[in-house]
Amino acid sequence: MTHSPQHLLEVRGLTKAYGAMKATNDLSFHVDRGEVLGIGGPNGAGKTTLFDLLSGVTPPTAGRILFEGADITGLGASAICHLGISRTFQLNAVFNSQTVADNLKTCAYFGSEKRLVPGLSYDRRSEIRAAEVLDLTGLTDYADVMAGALPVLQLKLLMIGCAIVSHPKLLLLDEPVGGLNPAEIETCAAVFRQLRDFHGTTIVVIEHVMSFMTAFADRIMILHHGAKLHEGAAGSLADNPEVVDVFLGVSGAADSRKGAQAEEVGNATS
Amino acid sequence: MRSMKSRDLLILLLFVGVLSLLPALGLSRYVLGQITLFILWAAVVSQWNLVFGVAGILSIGHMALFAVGGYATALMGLYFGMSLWWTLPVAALAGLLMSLVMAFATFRLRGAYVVVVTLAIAMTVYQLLVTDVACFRQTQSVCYSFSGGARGLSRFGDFGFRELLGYSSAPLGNFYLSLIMLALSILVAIMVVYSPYGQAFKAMRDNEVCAASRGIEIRKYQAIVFAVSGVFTGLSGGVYAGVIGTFGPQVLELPTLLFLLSMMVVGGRGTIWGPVVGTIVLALIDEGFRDLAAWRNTAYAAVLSIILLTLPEGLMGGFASLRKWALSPRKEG
Amino acid sequence: MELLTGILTSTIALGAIYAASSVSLALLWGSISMLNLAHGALIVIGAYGSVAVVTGLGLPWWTGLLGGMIAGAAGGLLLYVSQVRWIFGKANFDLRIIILTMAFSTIVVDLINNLIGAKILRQPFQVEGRFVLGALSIGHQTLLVVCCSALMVLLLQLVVHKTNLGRLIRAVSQDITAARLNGVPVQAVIFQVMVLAGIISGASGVLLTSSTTVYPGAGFDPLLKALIVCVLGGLGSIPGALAASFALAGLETTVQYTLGVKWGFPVSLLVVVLVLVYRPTGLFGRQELERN
Ligand SMILES: Nc1ncnc2c1ncn2[C@@H]1O[C@H](COP(=O)(O)OP(=O)(O)OP(=O)(O)O)[C@@H](O)[C@H]1O
Ligand SMILES: [Mg+2]
Repeated sequence: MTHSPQHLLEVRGLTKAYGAMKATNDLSFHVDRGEVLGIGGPNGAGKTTLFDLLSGVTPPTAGRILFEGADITGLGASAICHLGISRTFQLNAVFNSQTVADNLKTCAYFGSEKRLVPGLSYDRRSEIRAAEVLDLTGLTDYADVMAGALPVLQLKLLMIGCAIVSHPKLLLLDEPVGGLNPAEIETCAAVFRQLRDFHGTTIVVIEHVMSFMTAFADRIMILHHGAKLHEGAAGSLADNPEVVDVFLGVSGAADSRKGAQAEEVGNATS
Repeated sequence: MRSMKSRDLLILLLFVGVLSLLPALGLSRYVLGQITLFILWAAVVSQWNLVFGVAGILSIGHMALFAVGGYATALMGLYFGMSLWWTLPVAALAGLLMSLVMAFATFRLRGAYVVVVTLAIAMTVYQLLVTDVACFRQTQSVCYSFSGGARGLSRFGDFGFRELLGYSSAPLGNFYLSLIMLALSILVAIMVVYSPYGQAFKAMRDNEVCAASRGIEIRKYQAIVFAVSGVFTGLSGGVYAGVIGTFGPQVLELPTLLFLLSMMVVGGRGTIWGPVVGTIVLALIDEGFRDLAAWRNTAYAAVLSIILLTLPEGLMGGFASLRKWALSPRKEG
Repeated sequence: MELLTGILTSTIALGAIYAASSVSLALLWGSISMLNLAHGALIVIGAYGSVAVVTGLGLPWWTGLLGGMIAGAAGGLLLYVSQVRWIFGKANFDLRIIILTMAFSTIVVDLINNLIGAKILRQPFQVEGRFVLGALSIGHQTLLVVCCSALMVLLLQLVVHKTNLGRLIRAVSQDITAARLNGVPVQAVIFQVMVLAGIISGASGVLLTSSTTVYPGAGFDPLLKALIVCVLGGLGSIPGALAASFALAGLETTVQYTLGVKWGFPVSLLVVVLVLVYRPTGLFGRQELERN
């Protein structure tokens, strides 16, 4: 990978006010190329709002967002997608009336570059990318199923597939494994590891399942009332008494330690 | 998807083939005229369906696009004495401009707001027409306004089938012209729906925020779907004016609007063949109530209500679930 | 000066009528997200109810308003029984109910045309005389309409904010699932809301037609105006509807006095469209982001 002095993503003083309430409050952080940043925090902490701001779904009230050194503050969602930031949604959002394969083709075609005048059929490249992602996510058997009729695990995988089929440089995952059982979580985690290790995708992940997050993330940031409560290496989380207090609770702290240990074991064997 | 497209193109070919043989049955002038009329309605509804059904933009003022097309043709025929053939591109252009007005007015609106604003625009056009009473041209003792006011326009010329085919065969010319219009309209619908454009429209309908985050520029595709539909709806309006021979503000009245909306909803909005199926059903109802004309509106409003209460996705949706049910493996009891 | 008072009195009279007829739309949208395109039908039903009671039964002129309310209530009931109860909470309710109510109003207009006739009737809810104070001269009829409208809006506000039904309506409008889980009889509440809306629409039909005439299609124009008022105010907001009523009435009368009657509606619509381009949910509408 080419070395660059800049961070991939840099956020400065980001604020989003809904009326008097600041869902994101003067938040600054950065993400480096190739790393995985985990974001945690209690319900209503402003995690999803942060993603809405980064992905251009809603404009910030104040602050700046720099991506690859360029100011992308205030750009629209489609423009940001074309620059290489792709996100998933907390509620599973796909195009319900299209088949799985069509969902992926649509996202590959429109997501990878700005289409000034689209053609009357998909180009080869989009079809190849869609096929690759079908394979990567294990959805090949579901290719012709309507997205609206998918079981929940396949739905999540399809949403992840739609986000990565445009080959983003930065992937934002909003609670990607919420509501799944451990076996299903492992299925998703395998996809994420593949992305990180073989495609070099930089990932920011929001998750409440701490064992998953501490195992997967390099660094963790905890939000509270829209502001940063903690930031540090994945293992250090449970050592911050404030974090334990507002967020983890005692059993959560034990969980997060376990996740960190699992990660160390995983690194040793690989 | 590709096979679906070829399937629909094949159906279109068969459908147009069968329709083109209809005059061979020796139909009466009246029946042929009615069929011609409904063929044109089907062409309009297929285009309306692109906006309303496929892209999910709840524009119910669509007849305004049709009206400006028709008026463009009628006015140019009347005042410039042009052959109506030459007015058709202008009709399409008029439909395009009107559709862009609609698109601009509804860019940021959603759901019920779109319904209200588009209806209001269509009704404004209507009111401007019927209140147009200022004297514009004088024939002997009668005074006509520029747009013909509530009476509308007539005697603005035709497509010349009478000179070409003779008086008794002129309706055939109108019939085939209308059929070409319908074929064109459905062909455009098929090409659009199975292209990336159609996928973008459906994506906006399914989930707008998600569509934008996947790189689809919402406003651009809103404008495109309105524009495509506007061109071919305006064109249909021009053809209608020339074929029927009169054009008035009645096409903007609520009964007409609901009649066409029924065709789309009864057949199944968002599908290629729904508008056609719906048109056939409504044509049959219309014919069945020929002697009870006063109750015609009640009849189709009732059918529309029953379909909406029982089959929200229309007859095409009903067929689809029936097929799924019949094909699904059932457990042995 | 004369022009100014003319515009002012017309604005108040027109605004009061707009307010009376648009609050029932706002009520239905605000409580159950229903865009009621049968509102015009309810208005006509109310207008004919008044004619039936006064001209038909020979009761005093002021009972016309009661007749309109009763007829409107019956219309609201019919709307509930024939349509709303079957599809409320089902897929695509918002779209289906728009088309269904359109069909409902077509049937109502047809029925009136065929059973009563298309003849133009006089609205008997009328008083004679003028109120004169210096340069100011207002017809008693106008005063009556303004007072009745104000009273109706006030009563509706009382119902929504001070009664048990109002509490339930607000519960249903905020979160229908939560309301249901908390034991709110949702269908019963919707039924009452529909009847309430019917009463208001019916009464406003009497007031509206007292300055025009009664005929089968008399509800369409008021429906269109009420829709425009409601989107400008923000769908579902009763205060929004009130503010928008007077704003639009002012604009419309000013344009009518200056540019000519014909341009009143087109210019108001243009202004509303431009406002919506900047505020897509109207002046007082809830600014909601679709969350994913
Ligand atoms: N469009 C909006 N309008 C008004 N308030 C909003 C909007 N979106 C979010 N909020 C508020 O902002 C706050 C942060 O919400 P957000 O969804 O970002 O939290 P979160 O950290 O993602 O929570 P969770 O863990 O439950 O997903 C909440 O109080 C929420 O009510
Ligand atoms: Mg969230």
